[in-house]
Order: sequence, then C-alpha cells, then structure tokens
Amino acid sequence: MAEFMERPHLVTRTKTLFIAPVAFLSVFFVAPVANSILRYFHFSEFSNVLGNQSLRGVAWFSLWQAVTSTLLTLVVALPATWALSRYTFRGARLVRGVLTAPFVLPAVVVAAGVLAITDSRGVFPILWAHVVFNVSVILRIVGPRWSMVNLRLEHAAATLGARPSRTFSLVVWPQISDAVISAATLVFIYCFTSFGVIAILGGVSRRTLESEIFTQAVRLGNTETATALAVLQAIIICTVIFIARQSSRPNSTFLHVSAPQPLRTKPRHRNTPLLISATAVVIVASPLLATIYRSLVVNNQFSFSAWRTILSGSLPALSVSPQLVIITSLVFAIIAACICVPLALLVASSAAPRALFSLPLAVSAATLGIGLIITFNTSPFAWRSERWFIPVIHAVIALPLVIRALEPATRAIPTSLRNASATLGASPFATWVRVELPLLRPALLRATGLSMAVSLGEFGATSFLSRSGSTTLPIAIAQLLGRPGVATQQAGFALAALMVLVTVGVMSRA
Amino acid sequence: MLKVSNLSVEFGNTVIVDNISFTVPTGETLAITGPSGIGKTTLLHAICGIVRTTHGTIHIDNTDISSLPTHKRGIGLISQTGDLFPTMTVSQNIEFGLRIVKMPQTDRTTRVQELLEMLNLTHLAHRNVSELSGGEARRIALARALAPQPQVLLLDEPLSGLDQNTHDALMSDLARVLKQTATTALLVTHDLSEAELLAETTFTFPHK
Repeated sequence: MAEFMERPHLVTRTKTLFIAPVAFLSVFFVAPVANSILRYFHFSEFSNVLGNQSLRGVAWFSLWQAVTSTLLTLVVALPATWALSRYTFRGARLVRGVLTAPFVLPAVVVAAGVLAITDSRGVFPILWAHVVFNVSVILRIVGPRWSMVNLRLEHAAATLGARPSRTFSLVVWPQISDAVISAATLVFIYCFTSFGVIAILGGVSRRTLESEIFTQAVRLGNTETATALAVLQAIIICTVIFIARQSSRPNSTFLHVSAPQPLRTKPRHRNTPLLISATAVVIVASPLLATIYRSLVVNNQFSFSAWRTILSGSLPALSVSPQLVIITSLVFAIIAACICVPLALLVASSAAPRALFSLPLAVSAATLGIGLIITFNTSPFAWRSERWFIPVIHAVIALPLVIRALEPATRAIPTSLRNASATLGASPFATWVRVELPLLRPALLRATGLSMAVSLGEFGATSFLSRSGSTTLPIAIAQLLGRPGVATQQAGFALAALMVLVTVGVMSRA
Repeated sequence: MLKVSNLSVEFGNTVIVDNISFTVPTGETLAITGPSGIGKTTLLHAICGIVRTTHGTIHIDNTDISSLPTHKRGIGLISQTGDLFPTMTVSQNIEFGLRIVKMPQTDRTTRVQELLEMLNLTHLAHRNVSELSGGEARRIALARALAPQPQVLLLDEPLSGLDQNTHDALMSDLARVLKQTATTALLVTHDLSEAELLAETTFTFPHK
C-alpha cells in the first residue's frame, strides 16, 4: 500500500518554488527558440527539405551514426560503470577522472585527438570520438544508481542458484534499467546533434543535420531551410525521448546504498574489473594523450614553449590573454552551477511533469544560438553581448542533464524516511533540509561537477554569444587550432591539454 | 485519549479501511490484529496523516486533528523497518525530533542520554546507524519516537523479523517503556502473544 501513499514533497507542497525553473527556462530557452521558429519556419520549406534527396541522406546518416555511436558507447561504458560502481582498487579514482573528463572537453579537442591517431576522416573516427565523449554520460548517470543496488540481493540470487547473467537480468537490470535508458537517450541526442566532431572528422561527404543547420544558416544565409532542418531534428529527438520515457519504469523502490567492495582475492574476479577499466581507459584516453603529445612536441622536438605562452604570455591570435580566458571559463562555470543545480534540484525533487525540462535536449545548440541573437538583440532585452548572459545560457543547456543526474538519487530516497521525519514533527521543508539534502549530498556534488563540466566545454551556443572580453576556453582553442602557424596550433593544443589535465583532476573529485 | 470515529480510506475505487471506530484511553495500549494485507498499516498511516482519509475523524483529547498535517499531529510512528536516518548517528537520530522543536542543546543531550539509558543503548550513542543490528535499530527507532514525547505512539509491527531472543528481549523492554512513560499507544501486530503482553485491549481488524 505504500505505493499509493501521498508523498509530502517540498515542491508539491509549495508549488510556487516550481515556478522558478519554469520561468527561467521560458525566458532563456522557450522564448528565443519559439521566436526563431515563428519568424522563419514555413511548411512549404519543410516539404522541400523532406523532398530533397541530399538532405534526406543527411538525416539518415545523422540517425544511423547516432544509433551506432550509442550502442558502441554502451558496450564500452556499461562494463566500466559496473567495475567502478562495484569495486574499489588503486587508481579507480584516476580511471573515473579519465573516463569522465572528455565530456567537458570541446568537441574540436577530442576530434583533433582522434584525427592525430587515425590520420583519416570518416565513419570510424566519428564513432570513436562519440564513444570518447559519451562514456562519461553513462558513468555519471548509471554509476550512482548501480552503486545503490544492494549487493545482498545479488548474493541472495546467487544462493538461490542464479548464474551471474541471470542475477544481472533478474535482479540488477530491473533496478538500473531506467538510469541506463535515460543515459542512452542522452548519448543518442548528443551524437545526433554532434557538430564539432562531424566538422573535423566528417570531411566533405559526412554531414549531419546539425552541421547542415549551421551551413545553411551561417554560410549560406538560408535561415528558412536551417529552421526547417532544426524542426525536423527536434521532431526526431522528441520521438526518441517519448519512446525512451515510455519504456522507462521509474523505480520508486528504495535501494539500500551499497558501498563499493574491495577487489576479491580470487584472480578471476580480481582481474575482470581491472581489465575492463584498462580497456575503457585506452579507448577514451588515447586521443587525450595525443592532444597532450601535440602540445609538447613540434617537428619531433620536445618543447614547453606553448605551455609557457598560455600560462604567462600572450598570443597575437587571441584578443585577450590566455590566462584571462582560463579565469573567464572558470567563473562562468561556477556561476552556471550556482544557477543550474538549485533549479535542477527543485525539478528533481518534485512530482510535477518535467517534459518541459527535456526541451533543451531536443533543440540543437545552433538553433538556440540563432534564437538568442535574434531575440536578445533589442532594448530592453539586449542581453546578447552581456557577459552574464553566457553562464546563464550554459545553465539552460546543463539543466536537463543535471536534472537527470539528480533524479535517480531523489527517487531513491524512501518515502518512509520522509514519513518518519514528519511523524517526528518536521515540516516538509525541515525534512527536505535535514533528511533529504544530506542524503543527496553525493549526487549534488556530482551534479555540480556535471554543470561546471557542461559550462567549461560548451561551444555551440557560446560561439554565437562570445565577445573578446568573454572568450571561453573552447572558443579560444577553436580560434587557435583554426589559425595557421605551428606556434599558434601548439598553443591551442596546450590549452586543450590544460583542459584535459584540469578536468581529469576536478572530475575525479566530484 | 485517542478516538477514531468512522474512519475510511480509499485509493481510487479500492476501499482499504472501511468505517473503523475505536478509542484508546490515555496511557493505555490498544493492539490491532488481523492478517497481513488487510489495511492495518494504512490505518496507522491515516491516523498520523501520511495517508489522506476519505471519511471519519480522529481526536486526541477532544481535539480534532483530522485536518492537520502529519508534522503537527503530535503522533509518533515506529515502522516495521525502523527507518533510521542513514546520514545521522544514533544520538543524532534520537535528538532529531527535539531539534525540530528547537529544544536547547543541554536539554537535548540530557533527554537523549535518558532514553539511551532507558533502553540500554548508551554504548551505541555515536555509532553510525548502518553498523546496528536489527534489534538495536528497532530500539533506536523506539527511543527516537519517544524523544519528543508524542501524545500517541503508533507501533507498526515493531517486533517483526527479529530472532526469538531479540524479539523477546525487545518485547519486554517495550512493555516496560510504554508503562514507564505512560504513553498512549496503538500497536499493529499479527502475533497474539505480543498483543496480550503489550496491550490492555485488542481490536481485531474486520475482514473486508
């Protein structure tokens, strides 16, 4: 009967708090996107796009490369998630940092790293780059859930004669499936809307809807066609989200938190998590190491000159100093997290419908960027050049991810604890502060790390808004890598390598 | 005194609790017995306000508390699992309700110590709740529920799932503590021996 009980959530009791995230998203996301669609979307152009064989081919390639990338990501990431959620071993923290770091790196950095290894463009490098990016999505969303699955249940199944595969399918999978489906949906969307990776590794023959939107809108000035493509892209993404939500059963059963186990003494068991972790690290880290290598080696000569330049010098290719770029990115990341995490917590803690908060996932960065510069261009809302505007937009983009990162943890809090708190005299707010927040602390730390990561790595929408005084690291890296000159390129790789090293350190602590 | 009059609970079209009435005099314990799944727990949840009632009223000492939210009813609840807060120590769990009513620190410490001694739990004061045995966790849940001195205490099969020795020891402690504190209590159980030892009167939950 517990399932039928009313849940005295803070937010359901005080619905006014829910207005804050709704208003935030309405102003900074819904309004600009709706404005661009209302002004530039025409059904006749949409029909033309659907009837165009070349553009249909672009849509088909976008779809199948995204599906393949998602499946490959799951193949690499799920075993690694199991190893890191279930076992503790020396270097596990570093492994986690290495596997989660690429998510915050600009697409151009990872793509350049893959290119440095494969020395060719095409489908395989694209898929590899997508796997490198998205392993962290699975790790960060499924990991907390998997670590909560009670080991004793698995032991119980084993003592009842279940093989490990049966134990997984009957005991573990039902408890982690909603997190896996949620994470896989995100991975699909990222791959489907991938732009930086396609731009560098796709060459002239491999185009996706996202790169075509940019080409049509920016290079060809054909805003109507770009808007029609953006709508087609959004329809496909919404369909995938709808299917995923239908097949995901929210698991409201409380999962007793199960601490990671030390590696077992039997060699067979001891080696498996280590081998899985090592394989994932090789797949993910090699492009990152290639980036670091390129920052230190010029013409087969070892040199620290690029590092000296970014840490204390200046670059003619950048209008501001590299040090200011680093500080700007960090400040933006902190501001974005301060906005995003509390809003996400309000949404994740509520029982209110949250389809609205998935919308930023369904709309590409290029579509949002166009909407922002069109909408926030005239007084009294001429905010597109304001510095504060960039972290606000970063918070918009991070919001759906952070909500998804918090949701499994908020759902895992048993109703009975809230009931116990209430019968001890605690109001819903006191229960939230004293009982729920302490339980959510690890998830909140991860959510903060994720929000900062999104802000640090955001490239698409920022490129529409960035000015010389507000250049972020990804923008600076793209500018440097896009310019000729060995020293400039090497400085770009050094900035990218700095992001790799800093994010590995930061993410391993989050 | 707890007085429940014509209480009904429905979830959708399903009637879970149907027109139940009883009275528990102050300082006494009423045992509610009946088979599993018949609605005993739902009845307790309705009394403490976790579940909304469809019909009926609940009075404590002639005050109608039916429309009050759970945290304002002054009713304590001990569930089958104890539901200790996993991020707090044993002492912090026990003093939770006292912190909510903003009792001064010195008084809180005294009250917690008093309860720990009453239930022979002093050695566990600073223990993490994840390190407790089943019997210890139930004792802490009892101490925590008694700390704010609720007007009524609801006990939802507090002895279920314990081994015989722990069960007997805790039952004896429970009987002693309920008498010592003169708490008005409602005990849900399907064990008639528990009902006989702990309660002055027994109410058999009617079959649907």
